[in-house]
Amino acid sequence: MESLMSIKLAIKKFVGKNEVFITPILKFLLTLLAMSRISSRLGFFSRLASKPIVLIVALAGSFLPLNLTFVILALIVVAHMYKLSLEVAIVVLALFMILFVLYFRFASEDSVGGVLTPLSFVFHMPCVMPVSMGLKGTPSSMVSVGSGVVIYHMLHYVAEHADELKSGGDGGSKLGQFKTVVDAFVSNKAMIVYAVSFAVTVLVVYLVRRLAIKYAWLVAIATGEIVLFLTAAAANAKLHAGISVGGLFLGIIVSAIINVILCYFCFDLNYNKIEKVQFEDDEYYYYVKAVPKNEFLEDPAKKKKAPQRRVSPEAHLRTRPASADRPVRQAERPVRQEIEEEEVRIAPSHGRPVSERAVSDEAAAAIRRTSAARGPLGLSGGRPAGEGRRLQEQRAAAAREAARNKK
Amino acid sequence: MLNETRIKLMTRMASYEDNEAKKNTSVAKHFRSDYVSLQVIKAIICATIAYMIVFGAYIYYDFEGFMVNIYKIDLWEFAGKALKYYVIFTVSYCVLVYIAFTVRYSKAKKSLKHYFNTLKLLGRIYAEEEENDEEGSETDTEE
Repeated sequence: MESLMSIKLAIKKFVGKNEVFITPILKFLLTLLAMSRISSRLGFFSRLASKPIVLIVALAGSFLPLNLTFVILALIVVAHMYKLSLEVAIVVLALFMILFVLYFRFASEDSVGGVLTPLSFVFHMPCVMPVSMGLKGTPSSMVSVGSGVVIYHMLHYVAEHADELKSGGDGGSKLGQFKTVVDAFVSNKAMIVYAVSFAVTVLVVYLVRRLAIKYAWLVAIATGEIVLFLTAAAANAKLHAGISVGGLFLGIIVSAIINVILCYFCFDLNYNKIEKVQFEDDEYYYYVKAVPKNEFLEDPAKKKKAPQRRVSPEAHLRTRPASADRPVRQAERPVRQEIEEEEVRIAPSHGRPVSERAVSDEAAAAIRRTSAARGPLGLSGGRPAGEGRRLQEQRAAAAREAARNKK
Repeated sequence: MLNETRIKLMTRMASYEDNEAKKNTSVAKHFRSDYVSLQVIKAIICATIAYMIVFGAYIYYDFEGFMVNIYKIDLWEFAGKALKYYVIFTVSYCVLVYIAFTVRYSKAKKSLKHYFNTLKLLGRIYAEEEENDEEGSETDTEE
């Protein structure tokens, strides 16, 4: 567990340090992936599908906002469609325009859902997206995930039936082509099943993860996966959409694993160290429950490297002046009291008097085992900071005074 | 002298100014009713465009049938039906936009209020530091 925590902290530190480079690289990779998939599946416009253009668009995507990249990708898709057929291009353009005009105008920050959902279908992991967006997004993410589903199924249909559409669809006329595309779009039952179940899942995950319960994100993931499976399976059975239930189940397991990893990086709380406080001001009484994040606890890597005690407990005891003679500072008191109690407890069994210079090895070992060895605050080894030097100075001053007295 | 609390506050504020402040300031410089009304007007335009796209696609879908029956159908009734659907669609979209932008406005206001409170706190820290500096210089001169 500690090694996992170290890895997580190392990754977070690395990403935090190099965010300036990592964000453009990630955006470049995302755009490159989307462009290469578009070019390979819908490469009807050979110039746009060429590698230099793909690279240029990906490079532009690395520094442009994701919303603008989404618009550029949509325009490239429409251009490919135009090369295939004007009617198909009109249908796809109309779809994108409705999406942009109605939805992305006021929820533009969710455009990542619109890009990633079709890609998740391409990589056969569509179930990951609704749960992830429910965890990291807002209820409006259900529309962006739904839009992604619609975009993927539309483009998938065109890619699958490109030859048929090129030859002219029903009756070979332009109107026939248009009709074929719209019919295929409206009657795509798999698309309806996925869109509905994903939207419901996003909403459920969002509602559950905001509950003030322990392990809210993990509970949300589990609930979301179950809801996704049940709604998709039920809708599939009702509409006869032809979705493989076994495949769906496997997808949900993969989704659960990926989302647990996401949860580990984004919402890793330590529920064993919950703090509850109550306080009031003029207007309210506050009941506060604070759950610490694991990342803010001690770094295990640092903990291992922490310097060891340089002074042994025996040496500490031997140089200590008699307790009756010295002024005891408040911070030192618990340690010294514990040591004295330990001396009293152990020494009589050996039948020897307790003195400041003759503490047995057993007693010293026993003291090392006790909490006294952890320091006055019970945190880490050693005396309070600066105490060693202070003692040395005291001893030196006493020696000087003794020498002066002798003279 | 460096003050850790002040540096933390300033870092947080700089980050806020770089990311959300511009958006929130443009939202909060309007009165709530003005801002939401403007967005609703934009929403009406967008809903009209979207409806026209869908309506055009609907006509084009069965264009031959439509042209054949154009003299048989009651055009007033057809237009009334189209208008009814347009109103229903636009009103429901505008209600959604109204809710979304009201929430966004109140969030922006709240966020800016928090920012200005932090600004005040920063001012107080500066004032305290100046006082301490003055006291320090006075004691130095006395010595």
